Amino acid sequence: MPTDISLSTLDRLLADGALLIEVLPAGEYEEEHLPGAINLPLKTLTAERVAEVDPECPVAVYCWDAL
Amino acid sequence: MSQRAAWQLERLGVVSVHDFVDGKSYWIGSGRPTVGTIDLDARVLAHTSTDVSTVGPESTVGDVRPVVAADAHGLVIVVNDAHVILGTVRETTLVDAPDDQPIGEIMRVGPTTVRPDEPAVAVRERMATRHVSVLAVSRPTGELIGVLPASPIR
Repeated sequence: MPTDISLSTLDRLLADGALLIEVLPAGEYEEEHLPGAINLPLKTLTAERVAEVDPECPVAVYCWDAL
Repeated sequence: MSQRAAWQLERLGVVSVHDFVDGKSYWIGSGRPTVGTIDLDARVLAHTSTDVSTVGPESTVGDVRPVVAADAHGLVIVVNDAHVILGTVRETTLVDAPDDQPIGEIMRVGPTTVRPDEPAVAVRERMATRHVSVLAVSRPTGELIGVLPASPIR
């Protein structure tokens, strides 16, 4: 089950080597994203695309906000 | 959106998935750096002053009078322990109020706030139209970041 995390927990995960993924569309990612984040838009999250991700590596995803 | 993405990643075999639910907006509002093509100077955050006076709702009128008088914007923002904005106080708020009255009883509740990622020019145009001299800047979750003065952008 995915875990909701705060900013401080995100900091810790990233320090430990987690993969950061922005799931917003590519245009929004190009305009502005968090340092180190890759872009896998929600609409592209197919098995083929997700196969690019190491399944054993912790992953943190984000979009614009919680609303 | 990130919740759906998190579930989809887990369904497709990623073992440890975490959802930073507050997202990019909260990151920006926290003053963290970002990467990309956007003009950061055009944002409210770039023009936000963190020189802002705050008090808790339990502070008394007598406590707050000198704080308002000394504030550069003539404004005190009332916040709770989590730094969430509860209200505002100006000198006019304090007229005729007894010194021992809690400020939470007379503050102006629910003040208009702006988000740090909003375009500064558009926000200041709205401020000019409505004769607003200063606005509180907050995160989506309500925490105070600072204040945006109405002075023109150079």
